[in-house]
Amino acid sequence: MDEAAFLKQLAEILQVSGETITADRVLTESEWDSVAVMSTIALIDEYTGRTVSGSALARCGTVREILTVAISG
Amino acid sequence: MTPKRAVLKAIRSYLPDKKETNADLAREFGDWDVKKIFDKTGISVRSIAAPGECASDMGANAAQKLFQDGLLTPEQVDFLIFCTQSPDFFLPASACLIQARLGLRTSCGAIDVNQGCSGYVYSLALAKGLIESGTADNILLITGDTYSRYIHPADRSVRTIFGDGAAASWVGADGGEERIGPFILGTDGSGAKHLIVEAGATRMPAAEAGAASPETQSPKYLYMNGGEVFTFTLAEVPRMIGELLLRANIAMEQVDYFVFHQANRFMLEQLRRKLRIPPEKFCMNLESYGNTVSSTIPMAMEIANAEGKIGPGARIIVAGFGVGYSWAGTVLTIP
Repeated sequence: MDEAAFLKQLAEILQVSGETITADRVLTESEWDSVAVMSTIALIDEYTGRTVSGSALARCGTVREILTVAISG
Repeated sequence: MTPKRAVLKAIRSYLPDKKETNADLAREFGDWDVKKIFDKTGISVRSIAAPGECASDMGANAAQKLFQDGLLTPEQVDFLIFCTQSPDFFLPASACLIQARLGLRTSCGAIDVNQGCSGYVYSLALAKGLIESGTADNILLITGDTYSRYIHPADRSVRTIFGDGAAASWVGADGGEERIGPFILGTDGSGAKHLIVEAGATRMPAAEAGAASPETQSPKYLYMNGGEVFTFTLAEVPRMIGELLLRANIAMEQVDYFVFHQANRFMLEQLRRKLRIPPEKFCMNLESYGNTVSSTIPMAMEIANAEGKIGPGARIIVAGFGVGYSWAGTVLTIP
């Protein structure tokens, strides 16, 4: 998975600038809403061909946790 | 004698008078704006059934339009299928009430089908079976739901999406080529908990359903886990379309138009992208009616037909998916 490209698109979903998004970023409640979760499900599907669980993704508190779900399911 | 073939001959729909616009919702919920609601849902206005107006009432109104437009007569109908998850009563079946209301023959078969977003395509599969087995010749297939009755007023995530309404389709008999089918049907009841109204029937009688906190998650109201439903849809619908093309022995390019259950714009757009369907071949016209559950596919087809997007001879794929989980897809050729 091209992590840099994935993070760039994730930044668009979270509506933050691509330069500022890092794995350590803590997700705020307002940016990590249900539409952001669903958009990320579609993004992971596009990059990995796998459809991950919405609930597992919704529980993520940081960008690193999203990456872990994306890579390991 | 040539075998009988089922044909979808006409569709008429009915929406209740009361409308709820994005401006109404934005005003009610304070921190939302009209554009944001539209961008996410693709819906501008939903219709809400009046107090005392049931799905069967709306369904009968839709059927009356078929009669008034001279497309079908009540005497011709020999089978009524009413697909709903908002029946008038536990018993009898609402289809029996509609039979009397519309003055259909007493020699007419009548059943309810309890399915939601997949229900129209499931009902088409039943209609095809009834016609091609020689059991019936003119099937009145009515879909109708009043999900607004199940929604907590403060639950904005579902209030923006669902609308009430009904549609009546005439499935008739003809000779010639197959014009409805093949079908791909599927079920995964392990997903039931993600889109459910738990209380009110026999598993959890309404009187035993205590209030939950927050109140919007009381078992008396519609609960939808949007993320889980989306995950299911994104995984299952493309698989179903692939199987359908294979069974129909046609390529994606040979399909003129795709009419999927009009769930919401976000979900439809993700499915369209994943399946690589060009926008001009993909129906997205829920703006004026919203997610009317079992009625979105016939409503979408009625509008697409009026706009000239699906003319005679057009080969279209229709697909329903959602509550259950339940899904169904078929190929229709417009007569």
